[in-house]
Amino acid sequence: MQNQRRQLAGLLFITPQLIGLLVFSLFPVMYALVLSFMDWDGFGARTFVGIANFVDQFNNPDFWTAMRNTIYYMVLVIPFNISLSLLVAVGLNKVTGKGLYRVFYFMPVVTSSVSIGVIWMWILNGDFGILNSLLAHLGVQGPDWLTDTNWVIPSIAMLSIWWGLGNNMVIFLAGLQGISRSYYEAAEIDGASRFRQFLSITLPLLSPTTFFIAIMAIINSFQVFDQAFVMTNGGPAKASYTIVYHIYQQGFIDFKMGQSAASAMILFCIILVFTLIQFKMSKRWVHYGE
Amino acid sequence: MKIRSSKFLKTAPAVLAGLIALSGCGNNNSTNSESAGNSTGKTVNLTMSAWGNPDELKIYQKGIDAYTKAHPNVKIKLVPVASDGYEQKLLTQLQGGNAPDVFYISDSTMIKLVQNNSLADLSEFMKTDSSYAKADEFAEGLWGAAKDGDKIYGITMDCNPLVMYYNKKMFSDLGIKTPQEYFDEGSWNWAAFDEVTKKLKDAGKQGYIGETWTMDTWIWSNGGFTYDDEGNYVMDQDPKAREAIQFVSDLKEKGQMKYAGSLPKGQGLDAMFMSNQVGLIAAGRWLTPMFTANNLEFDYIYWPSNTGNPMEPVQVPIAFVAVNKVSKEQEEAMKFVTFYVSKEGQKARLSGNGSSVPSVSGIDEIITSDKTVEHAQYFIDAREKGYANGSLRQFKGRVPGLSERINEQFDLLLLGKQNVDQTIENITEQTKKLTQESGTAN
Repeated sequence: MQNQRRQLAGLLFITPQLIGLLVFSLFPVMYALVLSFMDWDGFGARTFVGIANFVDQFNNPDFWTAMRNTIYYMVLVIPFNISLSLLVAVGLNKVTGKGLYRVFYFMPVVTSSVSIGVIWMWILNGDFGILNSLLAHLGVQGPDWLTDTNWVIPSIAMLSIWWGLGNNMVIFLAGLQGISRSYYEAAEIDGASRFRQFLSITLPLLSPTTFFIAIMAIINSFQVFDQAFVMTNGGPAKASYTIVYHIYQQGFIDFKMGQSAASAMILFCIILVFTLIQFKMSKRWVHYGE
Repeated sequence: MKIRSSKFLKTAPAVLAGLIALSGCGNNNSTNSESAGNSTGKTVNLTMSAWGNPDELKIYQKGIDAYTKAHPNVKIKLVPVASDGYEQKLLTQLQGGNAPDVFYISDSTMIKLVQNNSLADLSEFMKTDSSYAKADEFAEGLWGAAKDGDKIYGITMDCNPLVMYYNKKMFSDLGIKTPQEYFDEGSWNWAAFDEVTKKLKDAGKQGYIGETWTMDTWIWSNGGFTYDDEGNYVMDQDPKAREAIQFVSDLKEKGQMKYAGSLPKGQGLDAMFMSNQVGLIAAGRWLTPMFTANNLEFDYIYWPSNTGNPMEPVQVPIAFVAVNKVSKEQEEAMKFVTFYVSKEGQKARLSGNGSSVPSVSGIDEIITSDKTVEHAQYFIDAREKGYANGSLRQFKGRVPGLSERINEQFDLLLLGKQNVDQTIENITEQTKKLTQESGTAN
């Protein structure tokens, strides 16, 4: 009886959060799924159109442009993001004043994406930006980062790498601190170099953390939107038009809610497939401690 | 510590009920009117949403204050909304049944709201004595998509016909003949524009900054059409339209025009004009307050014409004010809206404000009496010959999403990604597709 009451009390405590989850997450997701089979402009009657919205997406050149740009962005961001944050975490793991460095690296993470976007718009300004000024001092003519179709995705990727660095670094640091010293001591006795220790001890034992970060990086990269929205509006000439921007464009510019929901569902499926593949492959390289 | 669960369990349901009520809060009122009465003397509460910067909001408030002063029983709450996302917010409110009684609408949103039946028809009310404004007081080209046959769903509160601004000091410092001098000689045409922008470029300045959305004005300045006067799409059949697009493209290729789309977001043509980097830009009157506040020496000039006429029609950026169809205070809202756009209302708002032009005839002195900039009259002339997005000449404004698609194609052209023929072909294809989809074909 006492136990039941406790359970009920616990349930009541989480109820507000649960309601929030149902009302603001689960219901919209389900509604979007229903909507993806409808033709609806946001008003009035919804017409059931079967899979027409999905077919339209695959026939829509904008959808493929968005996919291309998003994948290009991912290819640039994910490897750099993981490797750089790992390097920084390893570097900071033993350094004095670790806390201070951590704060510096983590600072961008707590800054809003819009603020970050606005600041970087000025950093990357082709005419007056600080980056091109620095490059000019080195005798290099910097490109028009955000207005050149060839540079806009690399520019947004650069921002994202810098922005995500602190978050991943903190997670890696936590992972590093979970590795027992005894492994390293044993390796030192065996004469293993620092680099060998990193390859044979740190990397394998950090693999669950790396796995988690890789999954999150893929999900986040697929969902890139804020930077393109704030800095470039998907331009120039749709060069930074990402898949989430495509969802936004269809829903809130063109008012094709059904089409928008269909592309959101396609994105959901893509992320799901990628995550499942990662889980499948993780058996080969992720080592969970006994 | 032991949880006193019995006490908690007694109070939890009440707390929970409160939380549920909070999380699902929403009213079923059809609008935000909190009517405590009507025009019989009891207090009437109206809400009006609009976008704008703090200075603009003060101007809107002047119009509201003028009305409430004359109607003490009416209280009008101005709800400012950020321009970014205004449309999305308004549509969400309308969908949820809690939109304001009165609201601003952009020219591109108007057609959506007409189509989804969200707006009250003002035409009958405007014929009555209760209306402060009559339909015939407004230039015909300024109705845009707000007029559907005889029905009127929104009214322009003011307007902003396009003219060109030129930096007088720059021209004088560089010893280049001004557009006004060309005009006085009767030769302010494309050739003159080409000459002037070349001279500016040779002097190390930008000649002109072009934007995709002004392409219709270039086409009209050559006597060409994108849509004819019946609203039929004809651009693909009109060599003059093609010639105009080619002219703009060539200006850009020759370096005499900088494309605004290649400027970083936030680094606009206004900033370049103020920092003496560019000689000519095109805009409505919205840049005037900023330029005069910065003591710039500038003047206005008509769009250069290539037809032999002194001027051709120009685009007139506008916005509308409209009444929510499900407002509980329809009549009072209509009364207020017609006052807001009337001579009296526009005078109250625009006097001493130099950022727009009256959309109603008879109070042009507000503009022309301001001698800060010499040729303010050009705005009035441009308004009389201008067309708003959504009018028959700019029928694209009646097809949801088409204006954006067309601008995307001109964007590709001016970024050097495709040629003129490809651009026209793509626009034609998009126009046919979206027009057919929207069912708005004329």
